[in-house]
Formats: sequence, C-alpha cells, structure tokens
Amino acid sequence: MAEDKTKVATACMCGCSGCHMSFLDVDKYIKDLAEQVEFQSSHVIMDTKEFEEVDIGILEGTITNEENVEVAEELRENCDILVAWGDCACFGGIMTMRNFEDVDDILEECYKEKGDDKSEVPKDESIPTLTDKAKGVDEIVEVDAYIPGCPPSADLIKYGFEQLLEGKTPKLDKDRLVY
Amino acid sequence: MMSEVELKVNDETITARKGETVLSACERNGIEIPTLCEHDALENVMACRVCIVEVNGEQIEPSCGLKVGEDMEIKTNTDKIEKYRKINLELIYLNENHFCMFCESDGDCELQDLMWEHEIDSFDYPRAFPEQDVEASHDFIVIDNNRCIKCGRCVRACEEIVGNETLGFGGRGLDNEIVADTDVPLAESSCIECGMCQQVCPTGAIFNKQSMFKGTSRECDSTITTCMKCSIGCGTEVYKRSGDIVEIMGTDLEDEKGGQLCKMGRFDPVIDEDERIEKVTVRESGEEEKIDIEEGIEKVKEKLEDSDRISALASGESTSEALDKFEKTMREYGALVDVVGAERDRIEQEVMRRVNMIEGHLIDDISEVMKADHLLVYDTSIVETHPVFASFIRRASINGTKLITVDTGEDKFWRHADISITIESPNTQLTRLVNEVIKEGVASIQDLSRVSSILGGVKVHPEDIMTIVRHLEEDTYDIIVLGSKMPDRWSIRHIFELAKLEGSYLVSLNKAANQYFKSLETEELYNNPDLTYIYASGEKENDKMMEEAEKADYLIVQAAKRSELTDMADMVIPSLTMFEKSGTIENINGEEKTLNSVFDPEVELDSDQNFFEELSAKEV
Repeated sequence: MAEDKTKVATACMCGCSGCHMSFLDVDKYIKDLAEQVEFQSSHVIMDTKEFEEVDIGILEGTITNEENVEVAEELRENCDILVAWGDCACFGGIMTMRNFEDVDDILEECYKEKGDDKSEVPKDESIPTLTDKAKGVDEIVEVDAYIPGCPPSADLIKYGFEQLLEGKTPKLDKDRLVY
Repeated sequence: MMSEVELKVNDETITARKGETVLSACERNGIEIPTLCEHDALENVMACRVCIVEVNGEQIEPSCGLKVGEDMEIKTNTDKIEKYRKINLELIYLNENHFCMFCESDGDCELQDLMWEHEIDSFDYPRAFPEQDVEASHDFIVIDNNRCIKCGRCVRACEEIVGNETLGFGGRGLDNEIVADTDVPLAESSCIECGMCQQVCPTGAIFNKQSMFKGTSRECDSTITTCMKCSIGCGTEVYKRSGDIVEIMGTDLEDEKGGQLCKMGRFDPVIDEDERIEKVTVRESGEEEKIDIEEGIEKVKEKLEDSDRISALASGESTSEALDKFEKTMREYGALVDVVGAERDRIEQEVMRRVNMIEGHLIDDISEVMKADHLLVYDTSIVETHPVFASFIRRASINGTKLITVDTGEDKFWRHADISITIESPNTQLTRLVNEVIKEGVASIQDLSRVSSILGGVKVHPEDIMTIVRHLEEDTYDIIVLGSKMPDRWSIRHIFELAKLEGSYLVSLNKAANQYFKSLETEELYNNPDLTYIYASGEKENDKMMEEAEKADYLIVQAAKRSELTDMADMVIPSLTMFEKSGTIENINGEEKTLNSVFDPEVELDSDQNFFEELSAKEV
C-alpha cells in the first residue's frame, strides 16, 4: 500500500454500529476515500483486534465497560486526531439512561429477575466489568472533533472525512449540526 | 402620545416605547435575541437567562426583564455574551434528561434549535441525571418532567391565559417539577383539558399522546382556519399529514384568547373516528338502499314537493353561506325554517321589546367581562359549552372581579366564585324575587321572608337574594352572563328586567356556533310536520334536533357523521365535515371569521351550499 495514504482506525464501543452503517451510506464516495486513506482497523470491514499508529482515530458508542475504556485509551494513544461519531460518543446517548440506577441492581434485574430459576448474573474474567456510569468519550479521553447525530447522516460523515483530509479539524456549523 | 426612548443596540440607534423591555424593543426593531421562557402571550419571568445582553459594557442582564432607558448601550452578540449564552444553554440541557433521538419533539424543539444554532456539539460539564416523573394519567396531555427546562410557560399559561391555575411547581432544586394541583395525577386534577400548556411548551416536556410521533410541525402541512364548535370562533392552525389531523394549535395570540383553544377544538377532532356518511341512504319498509347524490337530489325534491307541512332545521355549526342557501331553498318549498340556537335569540328579542330594553345592554365584545366589577353568571355550563369564554370569567375573578354564580346543579366555577348560589329548577324564582326586592325596596331579610312567603313555596335562601341585590345595587360596572342552557322565557325575562333595573350589561350565549342565523328569518317549526329536514352539518345529534326528529313523520337528515339521529332517519344525505367546509362564520362579537378547508371533501359534494342550490325548486 502507498505510503502517503492517511491511516484511519475506527472502532465501535457500546453502540449499535448505526454510525458505521451511516458511514457505508456514503455510497460512491467510499471509492474516492479508498484512494486517499488506508483503514488500519474498522470492525465493519475488517477483523483487526489491535490499533497501530494512525493519523485519524474514530470512535462510535458510549463508554459503558472497562473494555470500552481500554479501547478509547488505546486509540487515543495511537492517533493524532480523535473523532467522536454519533450522539453516544459525543454526549453519552441513549445508553446513559442506565445512569439513573445502580449497576448491580440493573444486572440483577436483567439477568436474574427477568430470567428463570437457574438464571444468574454472568461472572467471568472474559466479561468486562461495567463502569459505574455510562459516559461520552470525552469524559475518559480528550476528543478533537465531534460529529453528533443519531446516526450522523452520510453527508456529515463525508464532510468530516473531507475536512480531515484537507488537514482541518471538522467542526459542524449551525447549518449542519443535528442530534 | 406614548413617550419614546432612544437607545443604542449593537451600535445602532433604535426607538423604544417607554416602559417596555429591551427584548421587546429589539424584537420590534428586527434585532433577534434568542429566548426560551419568554412567550408573547405571557408575562416575563427571567427564568432561562438565554436572552442575556450586555448593558453599557458592564453588567450582563436578561433582556426580557430589563426596561429600556435613555442612552442605554446594549450589545446582544459579543463574544462574551455568546459564551455565557452557550453555557446557560448547556446547563439547561444537562440539568434534565434529554434524549433527542426518541423525543416526541425531536425536530420541533426550541431548546434543540438553540443548541444547534449555538453549535453546541459537546459538553464541558457533567450531566446531572436527576430522577424525574412522567405524568401520563391523562387521555391527551403527558407531562414528562425529564424534558422540562422549568421555563414555567405552562404554569404561566394555565394561570394567565386559562385562569385555571392547575399547573404549578413542586419540589426544590433538582427535584423541582411541574405538578397538577397538590401533586395529584393530571387526570384527577382540576385540569380542563384545554391543552394550552402543550401549545406553549418549548420542548417535548408536555405533549399530546394522540399526536405523538405522527410528525413534527415541519413535516406537516398546515391550514389556518376557524373553530366551529361554539360561537367564540377561535382561530386554529390545523396540522395534517397523510390525510390525518396531527394536531391543532390556537392562533389568536394577539387578542385576549392568548392562543387558547379547548378540548372540543384541540383534542376531540384528532381522535374523531366516527363513521362517515358517504352515500345517500334511503330506508323504506326495512330495506336500506344506497344511491348516488344526483339520484338523491331528485328523491329529496320529490319528497319536498309532495309535502305540505315541512319543518326545516339547520345546525348552528354551519357556514353562513350554507345557512343562507338552506333557508332560501327550504322557503321555496314552503317550509318553516329554524336554526339550533335561534329559538333562544327569538325569546330574547321578544323580551327586549316587552321590557323596552335598548340594544346597548347587550355587550358586543365578550372580553369586556374581564373589566367588570361584578359578574353574575347564570348557568355555569358555559365552562363546557364555551370554554374559552369561561377562561375570561376565571381571569376576571383572579384579578379581583366579584364573581357570583347561579346554577341548578354543580357550580362549575366553584374554585373561583366569591358567592355560589344553588337554586332549584326552574330558575325563574330567584330572579323573580330579586326583581321583587328591588322594585319593592325591601331592605331586610325579614321583609324578604315575608315577600317569599307571599310568593309561596319558593325554595331560595333569602340571603342569596340579598347578596345579589347588594352587589348589583352598587354603582359599578356589572355584567350578567347567561349560559346557553337557560331554560325558559320567564327566567330570561326576569334577568333582562333585572339588568335594565340595575343598569347592568348582558352577555347572552346561545347554542349556535355561527351567529349568522340572526340575519335570517327563523320561526318555530310545525308540531305535526309531514316532512322534517334536519341539516345536522358536521354536528352530531343535540337535544333540539332529537326533539324535532321525534315529531317527524318522514325524516331526512343531512350529516357528515353517523349518529343516533342518522340512524332514525328515513333518508340520510352526506354533508361536509368542519375541516372540509370553507366559507365564513359570524362569531358572538358579530365578527366575520374565515373558514378554510383543511381537507378536500371525501364525499361526492363540493360544498353544502351547492347541494342546497341544486335542491332548489326553481327551474333554471
């Protein structure tokens, strides 16, 4: 692959991948984009588990567990510009509705009380612990650009890439901003 | 001449009226200042602090609470102001639980609009996540405190415009929320279901359950028209999408109504799913036949020509144009013509002649009740029949007017009435006694007891009579309001006599929504008609229509919706609904209001008046 391509890594934390779907909606632009960027990691198009050094890191979703915190911190360390995609990453989004309740109570209710006699709250080393509160990305790591929306439209995703590739940090003005 | 003040706004000199706020002066001069809690029809309370401006380069103040002053220098859009405005908006948002993605008002929200306009794409402060109640006990109105920004528009509207004082604030700090009465479920509260709170709410905190997720106001087409449910004739804006009414908003923001509507005008049409009359239906010896409109016209003509005594009754919920044509056409067939509500007017005219009363006693602007010193309301059913007018009476009472109510049943103004008098039917006894007392100059209750014993068998408390006399005798601006259910001519006569004797003014309400019938000739109908033609229009059955229908030998009913009345009829003819009609109606103040059609007719008629035109006996 060409050396001069901009390296991009994207990741979805606690989200619905709707922002990534919206990204795929950019349609023909993906061809132009492919000529200019190289995706180092992106769960919708490749199976990579680790981040390398990239120019642009993109995060979708809310931070709700320890793994999300790790992903956010790792990507932050490995990218120059970190972009938050969607209401979840920007503000916390719909997942923050659990912030009204205690985490243990929620787990009890969801796994035990709503199940049968044999149901129990899953506990295993491989299962990441839930954070105390669901949070937007910028409550954990510094974010350089925000593209909110639920999901942000393909046009906004495209606009974001265009700005980034021109070397600018995208900032949605009042005619573009929606959530 | 109102004195004027000159001040500088963003280095431009503007002229303001003395005593007005900086916000209103700027608005009139085309300088935009964003606001959330301010509303044209309401008092300012400086709750949201979004309209802040810089004054004389020093302090920052909310412009809605700042009176204009000579040589004041105002800046509305400096970097500093923008910064603080943004912080205020952010704090308003973070203080409650806003989730735009599934909010009913997403895309229709004043807070969201301002956040977008100020390019807020992230937050500098943590969110509070306070636990808030959702109050959804009511059939229409939902109060979701999670989305409430505590601007207090609903609370102010409920008090200042509707005069009902149902909504208020409960709790403190983060627990602060909108409550009904003493924090009871809305459905069990004193709420009169006018929906004013929903109309003024800037966010999705108060919304209509029946309209939710049917489309934002930007996604709907809207038509400005007039409500036909009573003679107040409130201005409405009807929002529609995919052939359905999504919601209805009041448009009379400028006058005393403050944009008010009532349950009949705002909510009922949204859920109206009554069966439509689509075809002419003829019922003969148990058989039902549906025929085309042309054939129907011929059939009706035949029937009208063959009948000698024809009773023709029209609904008061008709346009002036339709009433006009209805009367003309029916007269051609020699019919007696009446309009629901006209009977009451005929009685009043007769009474006025008998008691030599001049027209001036009848008030031609109903909002005058808000200026009265004493208000005597006969028949409190106006709360249900003319709800927006009832709000004027409540507001008068809040502002110090002495309110005396007289009713045979429950006093529907019981929370506002200073004196509430319950009488037994018929109403005449009370007014008769009051008149008697005034005429005879009876000064004490003892004397009065004697009078009432002379009149015999009267079950009215003498003190009630003295109270009325005492209040009306004062040299004040007194108005007597008569509800539309006033039963008999004697009551009306006594009340009119009383008004004349005491120099009081009168507001008299009848059952017709369109007062145009006053320009027509109407009369009492036959007792034993051969044929009865009831033009029920968009209305369902009412007492008068049922009374005439029961007398009928052969019954023709023209209506938009199926009802008890159409089920009784020998022939049923379709009519246009309130939202299909266009034309004019005359309201209680004698003003002509325009009715614009919201939907194209679903039936084979282009208008009711054209139907009557074609029914005309005259050969063209």
